[in-house]
Amino acid sequence: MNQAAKMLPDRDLMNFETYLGRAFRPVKPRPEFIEGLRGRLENVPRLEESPAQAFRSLVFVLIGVMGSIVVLVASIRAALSLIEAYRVLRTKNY
Amino acid sequence: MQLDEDLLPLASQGDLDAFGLLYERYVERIFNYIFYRTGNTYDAEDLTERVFMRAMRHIGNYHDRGLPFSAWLYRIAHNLVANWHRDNNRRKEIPLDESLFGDHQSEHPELELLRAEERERLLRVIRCLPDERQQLLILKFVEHLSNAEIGQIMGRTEGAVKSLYHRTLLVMRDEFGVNLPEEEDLEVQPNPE
Repeated sequence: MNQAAKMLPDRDLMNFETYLGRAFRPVKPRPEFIEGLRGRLENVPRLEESPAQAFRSLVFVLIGVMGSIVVLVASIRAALSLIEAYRVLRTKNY
Repeated sequence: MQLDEDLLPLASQGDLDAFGLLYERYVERIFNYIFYRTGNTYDAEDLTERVFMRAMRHIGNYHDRGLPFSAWLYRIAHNLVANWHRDNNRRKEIPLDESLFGDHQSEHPELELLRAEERERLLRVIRCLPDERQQLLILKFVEHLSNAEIGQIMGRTEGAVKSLYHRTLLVMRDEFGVNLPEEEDLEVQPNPE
């Protein structure tokens, strides 16, 4: 960081703000670009979610959630079975 | 003049004229924003087109939840510019478009040249700033938005924007301040509009 700049008083901050305000100049896009894009926009198909699509999305989400729950429960049961089997084996050894 | 709130329901129902009015209202602002973030006309036009294409496709899903339509557009533009920087990895070496500096005749060509160099240097400093600070400066100085409007676009409070703005000015002044142009230089600069 520049040491000399650090010593600038707050007045210079205001000057700098004024300078920025003048340095940033709005730019005009080409008129042919504006017109051309307007024409192209008139042919764009819109993606609007119909009630049937929304229902389908909801069903997929529900299936996903249910599937996750089933996998989670099965994993927990498998882990518990393994622990139980391990415990039985240790008891038999004694 | 019809308000955005009146045009949006029509545009979302497929009214092309309503969307056309919104387009005309915002296309220059979005172009300016993207131009200052990318630094060249070609990419600015390409990304501006993508912003409005995306807006057109998804306007049926736009719901006014306190976020103005302009803020929604700026967010689309911001995301596309961020993707553009990431994909092209050319943030540090953006060519500066001549149209920024010399698209109008000046009675003082040497002064115009100095201004161009000054502005080029300024833009280089700006492009070294983090994305959100660049966005803030452009919205503030090019689009002339208030802190509250900028806050809506950036998803921050007005106070947070004010604070970020002040910190950004300090950083930029430290980078740029020693050779700050004299008051007289500022006075002779013609109004860019």
